[in-house]
Amino acid sequence: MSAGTDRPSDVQLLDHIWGARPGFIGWLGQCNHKAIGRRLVFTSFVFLLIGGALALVMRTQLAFPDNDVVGAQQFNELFTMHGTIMMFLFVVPMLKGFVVYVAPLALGARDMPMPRLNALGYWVYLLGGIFLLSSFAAGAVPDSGWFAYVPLTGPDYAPELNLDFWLLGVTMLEVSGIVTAIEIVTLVARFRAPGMSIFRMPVFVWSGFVASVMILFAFPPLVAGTVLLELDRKVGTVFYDASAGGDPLLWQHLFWWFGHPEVYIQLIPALGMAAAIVTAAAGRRMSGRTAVIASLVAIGILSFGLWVHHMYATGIPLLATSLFTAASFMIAIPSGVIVMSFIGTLWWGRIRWSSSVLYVVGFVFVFVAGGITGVMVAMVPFDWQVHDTYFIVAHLHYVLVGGSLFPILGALHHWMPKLTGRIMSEKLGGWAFALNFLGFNLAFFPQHALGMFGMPRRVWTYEEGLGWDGLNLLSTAGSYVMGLGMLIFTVALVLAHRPGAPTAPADPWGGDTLEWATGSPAPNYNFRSTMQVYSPEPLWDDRSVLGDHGPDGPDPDRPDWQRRLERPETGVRQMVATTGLDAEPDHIVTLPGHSLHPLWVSIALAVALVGVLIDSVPLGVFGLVGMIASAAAWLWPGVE
Amino acid sequence: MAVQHSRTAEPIGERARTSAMGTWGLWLTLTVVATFVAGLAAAALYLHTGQEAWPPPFIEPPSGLPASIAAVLSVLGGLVATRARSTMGAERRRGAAIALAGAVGLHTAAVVTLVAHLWQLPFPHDAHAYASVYWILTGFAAWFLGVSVLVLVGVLVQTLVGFVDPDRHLELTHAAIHAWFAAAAALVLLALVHLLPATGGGG
Amino acid sequence: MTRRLALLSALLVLTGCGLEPRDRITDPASPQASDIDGLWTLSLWLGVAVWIIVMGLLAVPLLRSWRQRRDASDRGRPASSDDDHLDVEVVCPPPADEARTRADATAPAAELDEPLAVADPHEHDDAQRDALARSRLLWLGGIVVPAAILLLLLIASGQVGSSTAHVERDGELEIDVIGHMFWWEVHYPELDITTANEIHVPVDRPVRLNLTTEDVIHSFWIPRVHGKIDMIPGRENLLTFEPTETGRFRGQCAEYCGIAHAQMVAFLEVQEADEFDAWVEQQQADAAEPQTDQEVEGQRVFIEAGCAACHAVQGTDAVAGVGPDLTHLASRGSLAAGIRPNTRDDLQELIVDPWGVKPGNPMPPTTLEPDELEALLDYLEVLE
Repeated sequence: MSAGTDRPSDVQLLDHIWGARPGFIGWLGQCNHKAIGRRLVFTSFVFLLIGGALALVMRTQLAFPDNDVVGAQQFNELFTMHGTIMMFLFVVPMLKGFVVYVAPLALGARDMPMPRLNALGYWVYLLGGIFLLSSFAAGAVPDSGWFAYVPLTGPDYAPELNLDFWLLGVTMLEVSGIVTAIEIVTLVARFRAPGMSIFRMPVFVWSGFVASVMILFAFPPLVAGTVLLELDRKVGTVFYDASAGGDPLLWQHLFWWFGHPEVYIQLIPALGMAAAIVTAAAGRRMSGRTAVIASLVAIGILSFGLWVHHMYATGIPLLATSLFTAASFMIAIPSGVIVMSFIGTLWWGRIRWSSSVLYVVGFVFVFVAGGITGVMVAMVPFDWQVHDTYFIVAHLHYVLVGGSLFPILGALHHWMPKLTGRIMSEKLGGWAFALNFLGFNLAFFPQHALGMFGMPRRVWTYEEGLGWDGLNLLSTAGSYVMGLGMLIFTVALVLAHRPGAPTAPADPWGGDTLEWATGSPAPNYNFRSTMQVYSPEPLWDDRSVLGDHGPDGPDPDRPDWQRRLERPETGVRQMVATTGLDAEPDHIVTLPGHSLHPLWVSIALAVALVGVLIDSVPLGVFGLVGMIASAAAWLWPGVE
Repeated sequence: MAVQHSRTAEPIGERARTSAMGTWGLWLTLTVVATFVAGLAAAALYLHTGQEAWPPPFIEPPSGLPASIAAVLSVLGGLVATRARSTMGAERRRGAAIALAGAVGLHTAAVVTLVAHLWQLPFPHDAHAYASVYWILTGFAAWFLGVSVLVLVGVLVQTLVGFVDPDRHLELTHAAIHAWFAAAAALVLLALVHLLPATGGGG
Repeated sequence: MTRRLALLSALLVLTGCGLEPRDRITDPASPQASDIDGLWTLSLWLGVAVWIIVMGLLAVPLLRSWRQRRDASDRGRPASSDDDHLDVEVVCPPPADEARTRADATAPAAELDEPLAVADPHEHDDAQRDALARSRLLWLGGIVVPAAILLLLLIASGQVGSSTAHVERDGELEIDVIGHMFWWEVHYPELDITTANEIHVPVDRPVRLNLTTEDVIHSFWIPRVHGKIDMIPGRENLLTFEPTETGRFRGQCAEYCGIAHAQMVAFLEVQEADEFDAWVEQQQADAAEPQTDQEVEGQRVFIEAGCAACHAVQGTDAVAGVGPDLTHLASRGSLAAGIRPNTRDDLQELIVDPWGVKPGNPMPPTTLEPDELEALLDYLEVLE
């Protein structure tokens, strides 16, 4: 396989074929999973900072009774946008970004199965985010809370554009989530390295797979719900209007059918991240690995049976709600199994400490507390008391900050070498963790008590003398500490990418999965030769063939198609697709590499929705026609 | 299996044992859309069970004839699209194009029937939740069939230009699957509008 | 360390000045709230116990790791596990020749869980040692113990649920509470009383609230007597409780209902039976007649300046039902849905600048000459 003097080497050829086209257009039209994944990760990190800043303003307002840092209207906008940004613009895209970047590498693939669709997912997400945030410029910021209960959000009580921004923006983000989920499911089904049977798949990829399947079934009903609400608002239908035969509770059912799985969609991939970190740090296979995978699947399925536990106070009969108590309790079992697996993996005690491991420890600490309060609020009578109070605010932040944010921050440390080839400072990382951890507990633990003392959530002010003053001040102080922690984290992230910062080795953590078998950052083509996987930890066993990335170099007896993939003289992007369960090589797939069509489709979609927003039929029709035209161009065969 | 007819896949062994990426994408997309339809259906059922009278006394349920015609047309469209695919498989491109044009015509006719029916409805969409359900579900049935028309037209054009041929016609297979899906979605939605038992007063 | 202590004590002082909560769930004033409080106490203790045990289990490996690091540094060589300069450290893959000896080439599927995969094959036996502990952790800690606790809680929750849910009771006092943006209309159908924001009930008698809404979803909640329940358009929800303690209990709308959601407060006034009867008698009477010229002028202003377009005063021409009934305004303890004390200054501010007192208030500002305003206030103060 040595290169002749006048021929490019294999690696040069692969690099050229899988690289972006030159220039700005080439950068814009990239469809490779690494470009898209990086974009998702860093865009959503920016949204995390925006959402966090909004939270700090809210905490400042609540630091003292009868405070007037912001008014009622601004406060209502703040908590609505904080929730919306964190849920739709930060957590889900961040997790998808990691799955899109890491999963193909961990599976030994060269790209996602439908790269252009992948790009569409990113563009729709970006435009959806800009669409939502443009409401600040338009002076019509959504102000009805992230679950937008009717009739407060219906045409009678919210006649302005605020809610249209929310409904249309969220619909775009949902479309983006669905598109990426389709992508990930196909990836898992088709692009695993030969020999990586379904149970040898890394836990992190499993978690991304489970969350993606959940998205396929959780998001569309909410799209249906928002479409109906938007019709109520714009066209005048009466689906949610109780005075004309509609029902406001219909919205709550549709919303929570989505909303409850959504919580687990945000949790499950983060569990997978933590599992990846902990496996590498302990240097041993995840304890009860199969049980963990089964638990992830079980959580995914059970989470669809819980939606009514957000509606205990709506007057649904006790017998029905009690069934949902039982269902909610059931989900504590797989969660317990997973926590015990984490502890069991560390049990040996041979931990290679790093900032990412700190975040995993922080995750267990916080998430277990959130899970326990979760069991409490699943009990109908107790929920009657604490529902919609600060107890719930505390509970959901314990679950989501503990269960999502901490693993994500850990994952940023863990995979940053793979993402950008740089490694974040452990020293700053440790400080950031300490401040985040302390600040978080200081900010949110007192809120349990506030809820018990009768403070409802979503209040922009409170009177003196209710016994809420000190705890609120404490909570605000904690939020500042956490803000400082996030600032340091951001500084560490930026510093790691300053010119001249040290570059990362290929495998800084002694990882077990295939992404650590290639360079940091991963080269354009991911892997030169085809892998053959023999265990869940191909980098630790002694039989998996890692091509020239392993100790032995490529197998001299490898079949001809593998040689062709190593040296694609045809000049197109190709890789091998494998069968669904056993991952036997099946066929060679040709993938597109550069396309602006996804960008056009998403711009047309945004134009159509702006048309709906401002009641402009021509603009809406223009966008729709644009979508059809650009989709037709996209699907025109032979044109890349 | 569909891989043989895909232009981007090349089997390693004798023949591929799995379906192509595009087929996966199609089925997953259809799953998503089916869940969306299920959401609409659940909403309609929920509103129906919550009402004492469905339709309300002041609304006379309209004739189910146009919906039945549209249902028959959409199923026929699916059948003809399948026919187009098998004709293509039998190496007859011209026949396939004619059948495709027929499927386009049938689904277009179904859309026109539904839209015309909505046009003539005696009650406005904001009269009652029943009216809203009637309008929007029928409208979505027409919408899905309309998307099917677009897909079929796209494949028809590709067939006429010569991109889709007996060796490479995965697009046509997908269009036929989609035509059936659109027909099924329309059937479910129209059934929800017309076949739910009337309760209480009214018609 | 001293600085940390100083910080801690500063925080404690800060917290201390705000404690003494006015109304808390753990201070029940009815059997219903008391049952729920019992459930909370049970789950709290179980939860704390579970959390401490789990944290203990987590601490074991962390302590082990810490000890290993210490031992390693005592022996004067850096442990591979605690290198502070992790940034530049490359963990080498296992040496190929030694790794080769470990496995034999049998069916790949059989290797799913055995042998245990470790990063460094030298440590393989070491890693096996804790296998039993890990298995027990998973089974006992992950499945058996949680299931037992959850079963216990499920039973407790079911019992408390059935003892606190609504049931018809003999001799219950029926009250309609209707949510408005952003106040509560209170109506006693049997006693023919209409008031707002302050619900008077006698002690030791079952009370049944029929909860409905006029506009959006609200949620009625008085923490010391019972949990909350939503007021949903097109539905009626019921809440039954039996107050066993007199007092003025505070509660707040708990479902976000729009801009002034934070300022929608309700008070439950639990009185001795005779005090309650006296209150009923007073409320059933028509409004007090204005006596002085100033008060008569005030009544004229009330009718003509627009107040009567929304507010009713029984016994006068003002019969509108949009805003709170003001027939006995002066007998109430608070204004603007419980956010201001009922004083002349606050009343004046509410009339002149309702949006400053409560943003989003449907009540428009009223522009009055100073003497008209004084007359109006005089009149309103008569409405005992």
